[in-house]
Amino acid sequence: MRYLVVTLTVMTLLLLVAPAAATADSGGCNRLTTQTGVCPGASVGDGGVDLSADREVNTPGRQGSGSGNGRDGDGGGGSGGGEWDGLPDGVSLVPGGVPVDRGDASGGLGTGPRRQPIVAPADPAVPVCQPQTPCDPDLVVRVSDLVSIPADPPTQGMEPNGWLVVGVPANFFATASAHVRSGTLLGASAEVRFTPVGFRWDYGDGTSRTSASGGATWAALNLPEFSETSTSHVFESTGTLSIGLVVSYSAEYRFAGAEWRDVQGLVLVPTRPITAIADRAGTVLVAESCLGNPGGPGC
Amino acid sequence: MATAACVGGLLLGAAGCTAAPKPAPPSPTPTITPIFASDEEALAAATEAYANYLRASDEILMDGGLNPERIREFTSTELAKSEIGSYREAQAQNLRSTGGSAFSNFTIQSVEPGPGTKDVVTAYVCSDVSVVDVLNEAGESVVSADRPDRTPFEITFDLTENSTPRLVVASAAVWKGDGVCG
Repeated sequence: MRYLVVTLTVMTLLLLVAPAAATADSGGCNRLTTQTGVCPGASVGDGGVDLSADREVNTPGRQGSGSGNGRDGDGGGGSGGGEWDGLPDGVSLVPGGVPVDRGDASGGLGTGPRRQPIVAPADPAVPVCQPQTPCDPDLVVRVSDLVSIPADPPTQGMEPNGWLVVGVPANFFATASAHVRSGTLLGASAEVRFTPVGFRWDYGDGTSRTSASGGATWAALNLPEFSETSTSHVFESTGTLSIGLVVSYSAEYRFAGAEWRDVQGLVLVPTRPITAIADRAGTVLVAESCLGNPGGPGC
Repeated sequence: MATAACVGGLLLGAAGCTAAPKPAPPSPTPTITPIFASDEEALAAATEAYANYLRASDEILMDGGLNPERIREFTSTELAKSEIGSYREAQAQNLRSTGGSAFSNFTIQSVEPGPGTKDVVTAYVCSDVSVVDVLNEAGESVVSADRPDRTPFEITFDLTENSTPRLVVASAAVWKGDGVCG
């Protein structure tokens, strides 16, 4: 019996403490993205836009321990530079995507270049495609490369608007659609097509939910008010809430006339949070006091 | 049996504070029969449900996303939709996986006493894809260089609504906290 009580105390502590110390985030994380390693939020260095900067992010275990197999070591911030390691040591990328050999000691006393440039033009007059430029057929574009081509921010709404009743579903919906934007990508003019694939609501009560659809109003769904929808949420305590929404877009790019190709990673775009006041609908008489029955309604 | 009833009662106490109080007219507190007689039973059922889900998902991805509907047996309708979407994506991009997913440190976070069928069990698990590779049509790996091999997840389970209810995976969200894969 003592064992049971201890177990349950630990469980209660988990329930009380865990939501404050950490958050669950399912933005676009399925088995495929987990296996390919493009699961947003699973890795600090996933190349995506790091939206977690204002949160406590603890990646336990081997992540960041530096003792791993080389996948673990380079998990820096979400910035693009330096994380692409397809170049030999000493060769770095400069803006514009042209590899530069930092280790070239040409002009030194009798010592030639320590390394050959990785793409050595046979004839300087003949232009040769440099890796990681638009003509490179193996070009890998990550969301961090899309700095000058942002996706449109989505809009969100809720009903009831700005308030909600504890214990009764509040409905959330967002507007985000596929769109194409033009801009400069790796120094060349390009188009990027954004397609919304996930909507993550952070309800401000310690819980969050990711939905593949942006939801719709009760009227649009032909449902009575206060119905449950695929994007509704039931709040369990009173207070003033700040409800955030992050839309993840998958992205494709193309340079003039070329075919659409996938951008690695998801573009995460936050909306302006909604503020809502959660209150109770009224007073309910119950048989016992909360002291006598802490699990009772409203306690 | 007395022990089981005691667990149920205490569980109700622990979970009751977070359960949604419905603004309903006063009524006597209903007698709730716990779905699981013990934490151990809930743990066993949830572990089995999660293992079945991972195996089915692996099989579909190893087949390049073919017959993605196979996952429905092991997930909620809602999760099936998004998972099937990702399997179709794998199929469209000619991706297939090799190697099996594994998991460790499966820990129950909470068990709802019922009578609902949604999110009846919540658990933490450390998902391990260290031996999994995802290959494209040319047989080249498309795994990101900085993929974490082990990722902590918070998993919720629903009960199926048929004559012999069983647990299915309802959601899997990356858990940004310490201790799961630690």
